[in-house]
Amino acid sequence: MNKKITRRQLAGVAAGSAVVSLAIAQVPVTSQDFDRAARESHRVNSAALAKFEIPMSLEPAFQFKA
Amino acid sequence: MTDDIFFAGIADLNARLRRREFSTVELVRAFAERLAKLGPRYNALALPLSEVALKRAKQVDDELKRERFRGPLQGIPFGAKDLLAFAGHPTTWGAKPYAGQVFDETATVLQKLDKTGSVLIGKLSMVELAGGGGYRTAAASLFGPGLNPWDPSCWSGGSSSGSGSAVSAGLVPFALGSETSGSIITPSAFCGITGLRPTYGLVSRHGAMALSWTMDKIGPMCHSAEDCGLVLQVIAGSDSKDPGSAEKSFYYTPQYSPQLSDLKVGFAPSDIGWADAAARPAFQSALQVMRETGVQFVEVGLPDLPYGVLADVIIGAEEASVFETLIVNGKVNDLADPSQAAALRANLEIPATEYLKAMRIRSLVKQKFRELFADVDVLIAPARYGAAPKITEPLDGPDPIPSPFPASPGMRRLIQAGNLAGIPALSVPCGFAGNLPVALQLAGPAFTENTLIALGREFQNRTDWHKRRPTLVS
Repeated sequence: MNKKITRRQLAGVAAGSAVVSLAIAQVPVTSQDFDRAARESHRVNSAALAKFEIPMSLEPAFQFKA
Repeated sequence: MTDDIFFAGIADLNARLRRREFSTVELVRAFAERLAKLGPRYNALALPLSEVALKRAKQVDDELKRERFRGPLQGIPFGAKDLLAFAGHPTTWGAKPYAGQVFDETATVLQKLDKTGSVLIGKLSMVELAGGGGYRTAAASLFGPGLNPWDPSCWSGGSSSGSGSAVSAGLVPFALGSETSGSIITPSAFCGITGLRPTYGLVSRHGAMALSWTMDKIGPMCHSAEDCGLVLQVIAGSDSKDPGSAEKSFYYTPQYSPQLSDLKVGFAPSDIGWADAAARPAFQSALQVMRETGVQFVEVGLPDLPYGVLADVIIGAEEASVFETLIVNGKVNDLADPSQAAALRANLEIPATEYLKAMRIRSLVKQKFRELFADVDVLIAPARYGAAPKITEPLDGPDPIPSPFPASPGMRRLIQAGNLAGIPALSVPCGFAGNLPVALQLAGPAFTENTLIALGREFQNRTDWHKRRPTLVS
């Protein structure tokens, strides 16, 4: 059985949601599971940002003011 | 006093105070008792402040007797989200690790309201840390899940949950909320009230909990668009104690409202298709009412940018820095939502290069919005695409897949996009899906709050959704 669980599924378990499948509900939810899900979410965000090409001239949306 | 008082507009209440139909003490006592009695039923009350409020109300009455008029908010009771510091009293940020926190200085916005004679009668509940880390359940709060006055088995929305419930149930005439990415618009829409997210920097955040320095805003949550204008006029303005201050004031000027026939309003036809089936008739009718105001409708879409990812990374990196001590010392584990604690821990690992890339793409968001607003004056979309969920539902469950599948994304990401761009938005109730309210969102270029309020006010002149009252739990 694949033990990998997404953050979204974990949230369903935490909320006691009826929409979460029995198989998911049987996966023990630990602090490490939540940590793993959070890191997975970061990986997805990183991949999305990496795909985005921007020119060198595009500066961040804040400026230091002396 | 009749129940009508509890749902009256600010100008009406102020006029009746001036006519001495009742005193400030009587008005404050009536609201404070109601808030203390009914607030806990909706998990809306964080801290009652009846004693200090009545003391302040007596001072306001003395001023009114001497005809020292300080504007339409004089003598009006209000509530504030519990992320705003009120000196000498607990400010919990809705989170167990901060349950005993007391500040020495009062937030700028509360000082400004006090100067006009408005009376703080209670702190209102909120999602813990204003949702920092991303909450997954309505119960992610020191005060329990925010319960919706229209149906207490449903959520009031977050993170300004108590502000939404309290205004909706007539426990305060208005409240202050805050928004980083949806925390005013969402509870306003779910609770059937009118909420205004101001332009970034227009309202001082000094004395407010920081979540994301580049995205946090404080704004009014009221019964009507007009009331939002009256409150914004008082709380807006330059503040040297807020590094993000735009150093601009706001004057509510309905007398100089734009000709509505001159306004170009951008909308996305596919938005109706994205809405929950039960909410579609309300949105369709509301758009028709908007058309009848004389504005020109123009079909638009949001620029195709990864708004969700940008908001996640920017807020994630900034909140990790804000709460670094909490995370490192392990007290983050005392939060009610374990997934929220995990996300905050993980956010410490967001690389600087990723944060900066997100902030660079955010510059593009600003640029694209400037281009969009060259063609339209206002964007209009559902505030939320459905009504409030049950409190037991996971908040990050999969989005329902509409049928037929809409041809374009429409403006479903307007809340995130608008917050990234720092632009203002107004949520106005526009009907019901079953027994729960739904709302339209009006968004415009930076510092065009008067235009949004003018259009919202005209919509509210033509409808009575904002006057509907929930049947309260007895």
